[in-house]
This record gives sequence, C-alpha cells and structure tokens, in this order.
Amino acid sequence: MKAIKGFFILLLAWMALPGYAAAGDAIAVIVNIKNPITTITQTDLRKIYDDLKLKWENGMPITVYDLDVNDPLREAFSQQIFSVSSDKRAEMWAHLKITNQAKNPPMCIKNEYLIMKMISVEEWAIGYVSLSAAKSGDVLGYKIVATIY
Amino acid sequence: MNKYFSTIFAVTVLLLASFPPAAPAEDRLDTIAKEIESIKAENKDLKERLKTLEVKDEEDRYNDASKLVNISGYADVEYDLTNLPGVNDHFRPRHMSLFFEKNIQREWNLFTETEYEDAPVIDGTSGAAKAEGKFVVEQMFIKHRSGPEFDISMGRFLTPAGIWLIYHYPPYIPTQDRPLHIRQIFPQYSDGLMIRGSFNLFSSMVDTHVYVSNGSGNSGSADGNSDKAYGLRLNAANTIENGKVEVGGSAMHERDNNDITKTALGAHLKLSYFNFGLQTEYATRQNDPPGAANYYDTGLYTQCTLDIKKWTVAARWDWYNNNSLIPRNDQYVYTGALNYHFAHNVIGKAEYNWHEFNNPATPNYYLAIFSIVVAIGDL
Repeated sequence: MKAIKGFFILLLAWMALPGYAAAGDAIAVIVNIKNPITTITQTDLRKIYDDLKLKWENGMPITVYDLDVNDPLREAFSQQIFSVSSDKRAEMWAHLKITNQAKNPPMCIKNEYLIMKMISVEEWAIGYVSLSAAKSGDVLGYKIVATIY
Repeated sequence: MNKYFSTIFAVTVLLLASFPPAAPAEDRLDTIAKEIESIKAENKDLKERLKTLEVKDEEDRYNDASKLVNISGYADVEYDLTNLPGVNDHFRPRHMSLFFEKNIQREWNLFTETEYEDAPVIDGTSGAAKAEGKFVVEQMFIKHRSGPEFDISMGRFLTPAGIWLIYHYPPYIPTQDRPLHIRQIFPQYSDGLMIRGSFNLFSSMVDTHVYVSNGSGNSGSADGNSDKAYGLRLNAANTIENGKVEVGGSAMHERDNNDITKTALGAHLKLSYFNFGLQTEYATRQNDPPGAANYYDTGLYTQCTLDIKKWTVAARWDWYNNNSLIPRNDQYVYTGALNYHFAHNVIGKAEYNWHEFNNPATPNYYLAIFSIVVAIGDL
C-alpha cells in the first residue's frame, strides 16, 4: 500500500514537472537593439521561421538565424513553435532549397554566443538563444522581444 | 647539568629561529583569494579570445562557403516485388541525384541537378552500342535574385504546378512511387524563363510563378514548333494553430509538336496539423487535336501522413484517366507506406501499391517496394 502511495506521489511529481524548455531554460527571442519592435507574437515568429513573413513592418528584409539541427535548444524551439521535431523542420528546409522554393532560409549557427554576436551587428536579424545566455551580458547590442517557456 | 640544559635550550631556540614565522591564517587566505582572482581574470581573457576566434571562424566559414560550390543530393536503392506479368521481383538502384549550387554574385546564382536513374550505362566501345537506365539534367538554371520576394530564373526548371511536381524528392516524401497523373498532365520540367514573386496578402503569403517555355516534349535546343507554352502557379499559405495550410492553383497552355492545343488546370491543398499531414491535388487537361474530337485527361490523389517519433505512416488514394474518349479507362492505385527515419538523412521505406483498372482486359497488380533513401548535404 505504501509502495503504491509512493508511486502515485512520484507520478504526480513527475507530471508537475515543467516542459523541456522550462526544465532546462526558457528560450529568448532576440533582435538587434536598433530594431524598433519591442515584442513579437508567436504567430509572427512562426511565419518568420516558416518563410511566410520576409520583411519587418518598416519594409526591411529579415535575416533569420537558427541553431544547428542537433542543438537541443533548436529541438525545444521547433517543438514549442511548430509542434514538430527539428529534424522535420530541417527536412522541410532542405526540400525547399533543392526545389528552388526557399525564399529566406535561416542561417544555421553552431552556438548561442555566435547568434548573439551576429544579431548584435546585423540590424534586421532575428534569432533565439536560451534566456540565461541572453541575460549573461556576454554580448551587448541586442534585446529580448519574446520569451518562450 | 645547567650547562647541558642551556645548550639544549640554545639549540632549540636556534632551530625555531631558522624557520620563517608562520603567516597568520587570514593572510594565507588573502593570498589564495588573490591567486584565484588572477586565474579567473586570465580565464575570462582566454574565453574572450576563444569567442573572438569562434566568431572569426564563423565569419570565415560563410566567406569561404560563398567561394565554394555547394554540393548536395540523394540516393535510393530498392527491392521491388510485384505480380505484374513479365516482371520479376528485383533489386533496383533507382536514383542518384547530385545538386550543385554556386552563388556567383550576391544576386546571381547557378543551380543544377543531374539525375542518374536505374544506374545508367552508355557504352559505345563494344560492337553494339548499349544504353541502359536514364541520365537526365532535371534542373539547370541561372537565377537573378533581387530579394527574398522576387527572382527570375532562366534554363531548365521543375514545372511549377501543384505540389508533387515540385516537392517530389524521395528523402522528404513517404513513397517511392508517385501519383499516376503527376508528369502526365503538366510536364516534369520546362525549358524557359520563370518569374517568381511573393507577397503578403492579408495575413497570408502568396507565391506566384509565371513562366514561358518551349512546352512539353521539347527539351534542350529542340523546340519542334514555333509556339511557346505559358503557365502560372498561385499558392497561398498561412499558419493555423499548431499547423499550416496551403491552397493554390496551376494553369498551362501550349500547342505541342503534333499541333494538339493543350490547356491544363490544377488545384491543390496541403494541410499540416501537429504531426498530421494532408495533401491533395487535382489536375485536368483539355486536348484539342486538329480535325479530331477533344478529350480530357484527368487525375486526382489524396494522401494522409502521420509522424510518430521516428516513424511516418502514409496512405494514398489515386485516380487517373488519360483519355476521356476511351470507355472504362479509369485506373486507381491504393497505397500504404511506412517510413522509419534512422536519422534526418537516412530513411527506410516500405510501401504497398495496389493498381486497379476499370478495363477488365488489363489485370490488376500489386507493387511492393522496400527502399533505403539517403540525403547528402548540409541541412
């Protein structure tokens, strides 16, 4: 009886655990500090990373940064924003590229620091990193416009 | 005795005096703390230098990449089983396709796809010339891209019509066999000039393709008639909660080398919702031969997919009638497929196709395909 009770307590505790990103870290969506936007909706984010929105509201073309396909943060981002795996998203982009249909494919960067660095120098770029990386203060020149838990 | 004790006392005092006085504990801690701070500062400095090097490395990677030709591609091998009369079960090294892409300038780009199908052999060295399999340049165009929403391509391109004619590459679709009407109503590829424009309409992204080409049956420098083919594709895409929906239409008009005037129309729909996918395409073509009755060829398929972790399950219903004047000319294919994604670029597929014919003179048959597909290149 005690064992069953213990099992249920453990089960409830496990169920109460937050999701992937929150268990590790939240995801911070960042843009260059000079970009006039202050927030971005998840719908717009999906459109940008799905080739359905190519320009900012002021008409400037968006440069999109993504992490390497094997990066756990990219997996978390794909699951949170698109409800599919990062592999599936990578396959979609590969198919668009070889069929001459990709309009604004993301540039894949190997780590978060480099994404912050790139966005800090590119005025119309967007990317995402972990919230702790974004708040580390290692790089200046960008701002957080959305946080995904 | 006193002298003896005095000597021991003096030696002890000397010995003690020869050791440096022990530093107070606080002083030692201060020293250690200073050393740690110094190591920390060095570590920070090294990290900064490393990061700078990484940034430089990344920048170099992009600069170097733009100087190189980007090579990618795919290959697939199969084992096919069928009860089609006259065909034995067989291994089939089916495709090996190579894509070469070169950004010549910021706006100018060259893209080529060469495809080897069924391991082609062209041998003119022996007495009787031998040609087996198929070697085809499926895409070869020079593109001018003035921005993400506009480009012009000239050369050979996949005919922009419907979904499958464009998005048909084995690593990214669940079946090896294509629906019956694909490549029959709209041609597989076109040699000509294509303009693509994309714009936002309300909250949707609208992609338009307009093209002029030599027309079907004319490839390379051989245009067998003075008429050109004209075509258009429209596709509107929008996000929905946890998914995406795309709808569109295609049209093409031409007069072919036999003076048959052809007008093809198509409609398509694609829906992604979580891990579920639905794709359907309809196409019909009016064929107007000189001095003979018009006829239509028409096709429709609907395909559903479901991704469960590394597995993809797919089912497809497919119908095609290649000539409306011929009675009992309908044919159907019922397809079930199971894919296993060993990795994002290695897929194992098993599919079963049941071909059914309205005409009782044509026997129904099955085709089962077991295949391994690999994609080459950077995702």
